[in-house]
Amino acid sequence: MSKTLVSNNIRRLRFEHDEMTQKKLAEIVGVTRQTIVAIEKAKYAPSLELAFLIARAFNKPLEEVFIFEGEEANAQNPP
Amino acid sequence: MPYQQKSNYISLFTTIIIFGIYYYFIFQLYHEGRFEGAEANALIGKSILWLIAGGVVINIVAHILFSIIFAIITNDPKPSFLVDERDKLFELKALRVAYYIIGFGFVASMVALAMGQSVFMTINIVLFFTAIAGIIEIIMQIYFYHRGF
Repeated sequence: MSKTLVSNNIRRLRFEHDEMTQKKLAEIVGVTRQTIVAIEKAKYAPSLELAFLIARAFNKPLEEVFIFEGEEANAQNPP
Repeated sequence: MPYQQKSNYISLFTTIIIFGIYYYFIFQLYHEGRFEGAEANALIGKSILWLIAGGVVINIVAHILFSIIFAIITNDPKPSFLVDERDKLFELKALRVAYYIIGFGFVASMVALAMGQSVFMTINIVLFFTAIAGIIEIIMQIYFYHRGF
């Protein structure tokens, strides 16, 4: 199953925030639980707005929540 | 399963029912020879207006009933009818496919017209492809929800 180039630490951050449920996070950021599931599994790359909302829900900067995997690949294999 | 995902099954059911009823009556009228003669074009127009009006009413009633049943089944005093960005993305992807099918249907109808087919046949080719596009659009959305992205 294809994955996006954007991975994330949402699962760990949920655990660190009193084991916040996917449903609770979905309610905070205003999406369905299925969308949080898809983002967490890196099957769906959220919009910039939703990414910021998720980061704000954890009081973390965006780059601590989401990681662009393409960046690492580029660093390992420079053009 | 969220509301939006379940409502696709209702839309699929209503689309098939609406066009099924339409084609049932149209074929009856066709075999009676009602689409020949001076009144034919007016009858085609009336049939399509009935299809649109009936379609709107059936869709509204089905979705209202479904919303009530959804609220009862989920046993949630505040059931979520939320449509988020992923739902909208699925809609747009499916709509693009439907647009191509309708476009193809329009070209096919023009070919039929150019080959000397009747206005009745031409319009029904467009409607047939519209029905197929509607069904494929919903099936694609169901597929996207099952795939998850």
